[in-house]
Amino acid sequence: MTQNTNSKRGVGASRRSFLRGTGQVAIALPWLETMAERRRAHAAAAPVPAKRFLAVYQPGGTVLENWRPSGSSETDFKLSPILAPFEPLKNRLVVVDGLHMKCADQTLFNVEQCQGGMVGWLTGMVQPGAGNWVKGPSIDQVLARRLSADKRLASLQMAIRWGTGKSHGLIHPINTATFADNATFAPIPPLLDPVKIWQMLFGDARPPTKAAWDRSILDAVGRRYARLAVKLGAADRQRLEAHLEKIRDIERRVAVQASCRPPELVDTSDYNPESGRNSDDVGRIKDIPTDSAIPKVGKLMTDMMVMAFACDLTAVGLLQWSDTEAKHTFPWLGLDQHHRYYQNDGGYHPRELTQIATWYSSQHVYLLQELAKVDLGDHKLIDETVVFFGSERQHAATYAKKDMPFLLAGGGGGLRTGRWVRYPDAPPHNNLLVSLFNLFGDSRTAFGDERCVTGPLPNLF
Amino acid sequence: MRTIIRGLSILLACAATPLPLGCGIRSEVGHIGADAMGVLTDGGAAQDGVAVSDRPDDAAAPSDGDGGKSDGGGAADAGGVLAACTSDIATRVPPAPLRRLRGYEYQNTVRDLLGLRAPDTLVTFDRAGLPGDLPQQAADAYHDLAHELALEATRDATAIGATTKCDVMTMNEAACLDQVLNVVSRLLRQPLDASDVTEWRSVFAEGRALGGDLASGVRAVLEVALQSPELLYRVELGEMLPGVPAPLGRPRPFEMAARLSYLLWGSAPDDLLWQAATADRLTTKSDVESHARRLLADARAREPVRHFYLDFLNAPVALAPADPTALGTLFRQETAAFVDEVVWNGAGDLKGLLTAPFGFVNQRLAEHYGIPGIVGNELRKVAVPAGQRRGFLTQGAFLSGASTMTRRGLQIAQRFLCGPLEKGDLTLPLVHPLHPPPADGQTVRQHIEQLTGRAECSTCHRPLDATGFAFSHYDGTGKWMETERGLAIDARGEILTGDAAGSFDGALELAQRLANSRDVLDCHADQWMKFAYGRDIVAADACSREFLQQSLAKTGGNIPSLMISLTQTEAFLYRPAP
Repeated sequence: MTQNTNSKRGVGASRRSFLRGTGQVAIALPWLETMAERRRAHAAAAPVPAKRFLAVYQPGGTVLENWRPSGSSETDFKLSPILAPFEPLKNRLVVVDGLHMKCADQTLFNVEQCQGGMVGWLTGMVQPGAGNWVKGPSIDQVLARRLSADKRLASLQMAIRWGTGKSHGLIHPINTATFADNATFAPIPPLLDPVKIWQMLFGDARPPTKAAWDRSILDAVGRRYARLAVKLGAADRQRLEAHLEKIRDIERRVAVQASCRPPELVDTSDYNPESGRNSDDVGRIKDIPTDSAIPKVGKLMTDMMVMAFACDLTAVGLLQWSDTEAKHTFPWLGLDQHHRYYQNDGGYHPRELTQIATWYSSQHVYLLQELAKVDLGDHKLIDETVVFFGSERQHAATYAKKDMPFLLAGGGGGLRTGRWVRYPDAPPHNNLLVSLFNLFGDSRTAFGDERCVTGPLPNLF
Repeated sequence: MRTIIRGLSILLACAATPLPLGCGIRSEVGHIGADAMGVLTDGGAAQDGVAVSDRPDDAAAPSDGDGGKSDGGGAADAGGVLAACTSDIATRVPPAPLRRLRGYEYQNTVRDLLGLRAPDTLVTFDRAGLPGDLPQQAADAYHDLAHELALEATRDATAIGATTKCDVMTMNEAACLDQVLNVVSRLLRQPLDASDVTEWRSVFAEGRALGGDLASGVRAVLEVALQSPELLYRVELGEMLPGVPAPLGRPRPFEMAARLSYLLWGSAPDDLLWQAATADRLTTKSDVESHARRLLADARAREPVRHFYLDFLNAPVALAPADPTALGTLFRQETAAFVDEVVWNGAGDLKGLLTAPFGFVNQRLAEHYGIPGIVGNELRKVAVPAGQRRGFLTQGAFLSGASTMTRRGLQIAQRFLCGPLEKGDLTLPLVHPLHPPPADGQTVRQHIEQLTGRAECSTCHRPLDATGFAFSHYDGTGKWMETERGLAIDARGEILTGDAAGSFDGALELAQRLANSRDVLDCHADQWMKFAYGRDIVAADACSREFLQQSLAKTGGNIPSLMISLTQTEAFLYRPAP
């Protein structure tokens, strides 16, 4: 997490009185429909600007032949077994196929085969030798300056079952993807404890019923201003319209609050967020209770990330599933060896790896579905968000960095989704980072190590 | 038109602005100047709209019937036609820009109509009450306040009964809503038409659905009403004057009721005004005058006067939550009590406000002013130290609101002399932040004189400082200083322009000089005019303005009389036709 010092805004800002004696709120109200219609009409005009960026990390690459879609064209394609869970949200997805994560390619540079991918994924920087940090910022941190200036948090990094194996729960290029946008380029450790994160983000949230009430009142008040204004002379009308603008501003803030519902804090007492500290290098020490809680904690972390956006606490996030070591088991999938074992420590196990990757896909889909649920008045949260799903390598066993299994999802900034976009000439993945910047209104043409970038990636938006 | 740097002052008072048609010249297009006034002069004429009068003294001068009665003055007979009132009245259509309620007006409105006490949060935005942009914080404050007041009003069955006369125990929903809508109509200051009622019913239904009970429906209605434009703003649509072509029109009856009640009480129309408006009995000048006299006789009339003078003196605005023991709060209370006493129990005139030899202090204030023998927190009337204090210019509200000599001089120039200081004249901040403090052996006055001796400084500084030096004996909080860091104080000063021009020694002599000046009195009429009508004075106001100045002069500066006169002007009785 990186803290904004220039903003005091929080979820529970400054209301003394809450609506008393109200139970659950009826959802389908007439005003909601009229507002929604009005806003839909407005929304159809232009794409919602990209306002939020979320990077989602999944360890160990993929099984390419079970990942790559098939089909005849960019828009007419069939999702692969691993991507099959995305079917309900296929129209929100861009399968970015064929990129070369050149900056992390151990055949070109003196980088560590796992670490280089981890630290290079969001930075586009070449790791200066094994065990070293990159000397550049990650894209999320640079975007945070632009997107999170008025937010409580500049960005939010969370990781599930992190610090396994050789890092022993300590920060290391083996497990860290984000780097500060300042002269230090300091690695930013992810937050690990779901209870502490929940308290920090939502400990002071106000009940959503108050926001629903405010929306109803403001809608009626706004109608009165609008209707009276047209009866008045030009100068007087202007004054009322100016006041109405201020009311609309309150409405927008309330809309955010109305969609802000702290996720249910489920019992995670069986999950040890610091389990990585007990790990041994090769993953022989197993923490079955913690591993068993991964789906539950992952869902909670996902919910918290979505609501951190919905509550406007931040505009930038990283959701990280484990790390490049991934030395934990998957009891809920019936896999009692750790991920790394199936990658190559125990020989290459494509069937189990496919099973794991498919499970991750279903977690990603859940994330997108939750983003799509959040109604911000004239659009959904997913419409203003760009999610970048990635990994530190393509091939689990060979560490290959070509044909990276990257996905984009969302809709912010006019990203054209519902497509499988193939890049047969293997452009460097830095170009994708450049295009992501462009999507957010930053017009730069290069990012990361200059040896690994040739310009923006075409055909994205 | 000229603009001055801030606050209430106006400049037209001092600038002889020619009227479009010139004074005393009748327009070729007819005689509706006098005729139109005739419409309002007596009820009979108003009915048929053909009031024709050739008598020029029917013009803005009011009937003098009640002059000199109960309040010791009343609208004075101007004694013949005023020069500014002889032009074609079509050239003198008084503007009526939309006004927003002042903070105390909002407070009084919810007090009188709902029996609720609103906190002081809105007072902060009063200076924005004149045309201009509403700050976002003010819109937020209205929204929050409406929510809190509506919650309070619907706290329980007793509260709902007290605020709306809806008895939730015995009334069905329709009967309850009828009661609530009565209150809403009073809050919005106009009867509700059928489409309004439909809209309010849907607000009620939605609130009820959201909150799950009848009280929530009532709460939603009140919460919307309490931030509706018809409440927060003095909405006027106006109507045609019978028999008079546009552009001259008049306020509609309920709009006139609000003009009267907010001018005289700073609150919503009461039952009698509401009934008069309903019966269309607020159309003649004498209708208006008789209601004005009725309202003036009520203690609530004190409040706008207090607020006028606190604003006029630029008293510091206490920030919420106000500390009741803070000096700033006490200063406001002191001056308010003083104004009450002079205006309503004493001579009632500006001279009294400037020169009365008493004040109101509690122990804390007494210690501050060096008055011995006062114990306790209650303010009480005391004689103020002779030779040190007299009148409101020597009270903390004024002296701490303008805490430097230059600022005090500026206040005098603007508020008493309607002084010709244009924005362009003041290109530097009034307190130059880079200036070093006075050297040892130098008084503040000597220091200012040294710093501003050069021509490029003295052009602006001298007219202000020359007057402001009168206050050399008072420190930034209004405390009396016999000497300044051991140095003798020179409080001699002068006024450079107008009929108050001349030199004096100290604030008491300055106040006396101001009290004897006709220019100051004319300026004072202008200040009141601007406060009462909530707008700048424009050329079309020449007739109203001259009438008010003469009325004030005729009564020797009597403030209650002026308040009646303010309801008898074209500016008050008329507005642009819709």
